[in-house]
Amino acid sequence: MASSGRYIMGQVMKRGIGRDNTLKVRCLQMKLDTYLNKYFNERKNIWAKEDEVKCNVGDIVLLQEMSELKMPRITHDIKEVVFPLGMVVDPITGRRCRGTEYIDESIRKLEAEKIATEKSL
Amino acid sequence: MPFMKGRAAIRRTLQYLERGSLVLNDSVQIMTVNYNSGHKASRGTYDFIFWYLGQVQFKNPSVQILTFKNMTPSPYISFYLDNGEKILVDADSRDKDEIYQHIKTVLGKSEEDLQKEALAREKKANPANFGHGYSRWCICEIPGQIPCPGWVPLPKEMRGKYNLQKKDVEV
Repeated sequence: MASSGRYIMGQVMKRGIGRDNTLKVRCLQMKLDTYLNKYFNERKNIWAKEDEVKCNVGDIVLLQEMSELKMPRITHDIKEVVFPLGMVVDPITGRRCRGTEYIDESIRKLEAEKIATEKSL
Repeated sequence: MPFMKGRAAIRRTLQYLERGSLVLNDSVQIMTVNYNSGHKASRGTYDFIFWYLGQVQFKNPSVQILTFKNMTPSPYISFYLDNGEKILVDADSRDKDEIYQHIKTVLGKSEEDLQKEALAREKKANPANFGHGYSRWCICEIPGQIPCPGWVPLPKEMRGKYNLQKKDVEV
C-alpha cells in the first residue's frame, strides 16, 4: 500500500462489521479553547485498514494517511502497534511492563509452567 | 477584579503561549510524552507538561501531542518523524528545563530559520506591497506616486525619447 501521508496515533476502538480488516481508531488532538486559552483533547475517529500489521481492539497504533482513497471512509493504514494492550514494552529498556513496574520474566515463566502442569493433571 | 482561575493561570494567557521558543522541525509529526504519577523520576516530565506543553502546541499546531500516564516505569518523550523514524528522549530524573533545552537542540528550529520564516511572513503580509498577487498591480495606483503614463503623459524630462534619443516631445 503506497502510503506517504501524515502520521497520526490513536487507540483502536472497534473492528468494522462486515469488513474484517477495518478498524475504528480514536485519535486525540489538542484544540485551543479561545476563551479559556487552554488546550483540550478533541477526539477524531478514523477508519483504518489493517494490512501487514495486525492489531487488537484497545491497542495504541500508529497510522499513516493513504495517498489515495481506495475504499469509502477508509483513509489510513496501520503502520505500527506502539502499545499493544497488555503487552506494553518499555522502549528504553526493551522489557515488558505492567503499568509502572517491569514484568519479571523468570517468575512469569515459572508461573506459566506451574499452570501448564496443573492443567495437565 | 478577582484573580484568574486555575493553577498557574498565567499558562492560559496568550502572551505566555506566544512566548514559547520551542518550534519543532517540519519533519516532526507526533510527539508522545510518557510519565508516571507520584513518581520522583517523572517530576521533571510532569513539570514539562505543566508549563511547556501549551506553548509547544501553540507554536506547533500541526504536531499531534499525546500524553500517556503510568504506561511504562520510566518517563520518556518520543517523536515520530515524517520519514518513519522514531526519536526517543529519556526523561528519567531530568529537570523540565533540561528536557526543554535538549529537545530544542535536537529537534527545534534554529534562531536563523525562525527569523527567516518571520521575514517571509512579513513580506507576505506587508500592505505596502504591489504586483502580482497583491491588491494593487502597479505603483501608479498608489496615491502619492506618479500617475499611470497610459492616462497622464510623463513630463518630458522623464521620457527616454527626450533624454536618450534627443527627440522633440510635447509637454
